[in-house]
Amino acid sequence: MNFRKILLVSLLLSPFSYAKNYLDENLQSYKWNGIDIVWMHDDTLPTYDVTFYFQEGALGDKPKLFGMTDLMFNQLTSGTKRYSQKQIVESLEFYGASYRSKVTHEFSLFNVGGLVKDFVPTMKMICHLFDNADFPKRELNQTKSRGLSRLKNLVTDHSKIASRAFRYESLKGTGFENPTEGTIKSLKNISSRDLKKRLEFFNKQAVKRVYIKGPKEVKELKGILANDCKWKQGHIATAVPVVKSLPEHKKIIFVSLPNANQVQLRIGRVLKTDEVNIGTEELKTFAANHLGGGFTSQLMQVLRVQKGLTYSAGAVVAEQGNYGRALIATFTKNKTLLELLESTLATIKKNSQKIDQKSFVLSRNNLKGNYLLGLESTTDFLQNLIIFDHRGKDYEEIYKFSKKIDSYKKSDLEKMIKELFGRQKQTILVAGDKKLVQVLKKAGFEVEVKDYKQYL
Amino acid sequence: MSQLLQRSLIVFLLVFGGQACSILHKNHEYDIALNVKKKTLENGLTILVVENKKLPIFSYYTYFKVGSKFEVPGITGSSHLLEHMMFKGAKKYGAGEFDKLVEGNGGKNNAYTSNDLTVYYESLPSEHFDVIADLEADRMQNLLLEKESFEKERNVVLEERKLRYENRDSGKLYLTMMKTAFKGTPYGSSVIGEIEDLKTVSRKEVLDYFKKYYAPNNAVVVVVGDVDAKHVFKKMQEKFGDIKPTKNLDKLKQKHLSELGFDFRKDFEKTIHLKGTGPVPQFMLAFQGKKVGHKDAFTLDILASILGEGKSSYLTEKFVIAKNPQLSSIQAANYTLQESGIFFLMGELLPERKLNSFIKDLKKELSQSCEKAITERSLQKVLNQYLVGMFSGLDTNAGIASFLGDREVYFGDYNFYKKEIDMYRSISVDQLKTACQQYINNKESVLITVWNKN
Repeated sequence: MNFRKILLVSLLLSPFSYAKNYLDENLQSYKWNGIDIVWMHDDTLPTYDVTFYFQEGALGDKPKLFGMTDLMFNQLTSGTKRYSQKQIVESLEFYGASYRSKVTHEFSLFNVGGLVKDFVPTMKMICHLFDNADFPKRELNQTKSRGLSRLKNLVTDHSKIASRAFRYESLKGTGFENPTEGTIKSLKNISSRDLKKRLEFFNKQAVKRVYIKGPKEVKELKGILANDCKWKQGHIATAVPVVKSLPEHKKIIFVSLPNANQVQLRIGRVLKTDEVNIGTEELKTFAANHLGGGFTSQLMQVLRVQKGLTYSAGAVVAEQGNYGRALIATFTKNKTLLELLESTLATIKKNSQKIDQKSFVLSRNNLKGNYLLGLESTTDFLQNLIIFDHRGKDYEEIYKFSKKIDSYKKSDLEKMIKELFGRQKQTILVAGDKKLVQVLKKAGFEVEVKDYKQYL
Repeated sequence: MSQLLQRSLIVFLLVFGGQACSILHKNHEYDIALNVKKKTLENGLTILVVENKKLPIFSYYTYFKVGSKFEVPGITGSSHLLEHMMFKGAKKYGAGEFDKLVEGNGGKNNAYTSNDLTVYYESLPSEHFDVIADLEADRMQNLLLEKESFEKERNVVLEERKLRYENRDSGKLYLTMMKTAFKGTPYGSSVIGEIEDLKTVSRKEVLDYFKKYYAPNNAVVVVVGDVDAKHVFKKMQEKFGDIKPTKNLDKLKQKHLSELGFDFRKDFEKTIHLKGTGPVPQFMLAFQGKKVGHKDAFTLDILASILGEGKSSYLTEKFVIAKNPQLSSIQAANYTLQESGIFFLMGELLPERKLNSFIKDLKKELSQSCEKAITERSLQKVLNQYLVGMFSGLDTNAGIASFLGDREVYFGDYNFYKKEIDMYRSISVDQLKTACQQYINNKESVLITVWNKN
């Protein structure tokens, strides 16, 4: 059969060597004013991409001020003593610059991209903002008002509500349960003074690294970081909690959504501190990919291809420094909720007991190939390096990925699927029309009903 | 399997958005030098190839020049349903084999359907080019459309419809706006299709549709990556050369499209209030635009960016970051289709703001915007942003393939991007002001609102 024959010749080892050579030739590292710099020399396009990494995230937000770090980055462009918000955003957009921030619980990123010809004025403005952002009250109140409005309107996106609620329930009590963007209640408490203090911490005390993609002109950043950002390396980071145990959820959490004609399902759990960064990351990724990583994954085959229950079903495992998450997300129409839930649980069980050789080989090759494809964009590649550095992993691991995946047996995969998604450890969350509570109860499930508003 | 309507809100990226293997940039002038090799087989299949040896991978795009505009009442949604079925097996590679071969060889694939096109794409390690050519040739000529999988996929599409449109206020807005603005034209039926049609369309009707439109003379293939162009052309001749073209296809398509025509209806002005789930109102306001490639469409692209693209855009300053803001967000877009186009604004009110008074303020502000918003600096800002847009996402093979394929299909010339750059650069402030008066100021519009109080 063609299929089998082609899989046999698909070793995918040489592409990784090829990628390694290309990347080794173009990746350089420096120390500027004590700050680690990683530069991917890339002059194929007249553009640049700079990411500031801070080893400080939303865990540093005080309990009543969740969302403060996220809001601080969002408000960097809201005004300084020299420039108004209007002048700042107009100036950056005139240069065609794009900028965005990402705040996780453990670290934060601020990314800027644009045309090389405008690199210096753009980066000088960005550094001016870090050094001088004033967080004017009027602009802050406007942003808070927009944020609150967005949260109130979240009910129009059932998938987002389900994911937000699931995060809270599955991480409850770990220190990681609150959304980094804050809640309706916490956002209201945040003041300009809070943001200024937070920024000062990032400027003076947080551990920083800088990742750059672009041609040689980007080395101008050295002087800008020293003179305009006035940055030196910091040495302080908020302590990251150790996750020792899993939240107990014997009942299914049911989040009631008004007028829902579809039902969202989330199954997953937190990975404890002693489960992450222990050398099994590749195997965990393999397990998630096998269950829900593509059109041929086990969940897609059963739930979509065989049963026509859903449009999509995905599984993912992600790790940070001190914790991780394993998650399955899917949805179906109201009347097939039970079939979806039971089929999902059955698929997990089956694959934690016996995986057939054909699907094992397919998942393995798929994962290796897609990992290589993920290295194609240099911007994406740099994002990988950021995560590697945060977790203290050697870059060489990137090139060992393929070999490591090849070293796993079917039994390793079965065991890891059981470890990650075994029924006893899971939080199960269903979001949809309240009438479905009875359907679940009738089928013998214990259910705890919650209103979506409590997750806003 | 689809990213339905993925180009709907990123119109200027459709016009600007590709990649280059070698890009010349001297004295801050940017030029894209792509080494594209083109061949058209005797049966009409057009093939574009770019060799890019950066990494041992490649992307393969197939554009079929058929989308929802070719559907008739009763079979709406068929282009999209067919897109799903194209992954369900053909004669040589049976049910389930397509995904298995792509993913099992370390690749990924997907597809999307629009009003004008259906596009399929794969990315894999280079050694698998021959397999992909064989798979694509198989499904272009011998699709199985098995009854059982057809019925299952019908359900999957109905769920997709709920996910994207019925359960999202923004989806309801978009769907209603397209149907209302283009009512009476081939663009007036939605890409996702009417629920009733999706429930009743038969396998035979979809198969007939396939036979008619999935032909080499209705397709463009773009291959970019670590491939040898000579080998690609040879393999494509071998795999696709014997596939028969659809006779009189152009006449057939023209006949279908001319039956309804693309003129906007005379009573274009319309207001529709939809019942939604969100506690704050969202809106869309649409004006008549121009089709892709029309000179005014380029002008309207820039106008949309000046008015509602980015934090420093005119309407964002007026309504979102003003002293007394009324909106949490606003965007403007010029959606150009192959035969027509609309220019629209969309946004979300802040809580406690009154919808009716905001709409009045918006229309008043729009009438003033033609004079106030358009300046030399705002024009230059947009051109700078377009340059960045042109290069964004351009460091992938898929980016190059899509960049070239879009232009080959929409303009009949993959090289058209050079003219596009000149077109944008040639537009003056006065021309922008004229277009603003001609298309926006006090012109008929379609207004759609949605929230839980309607």
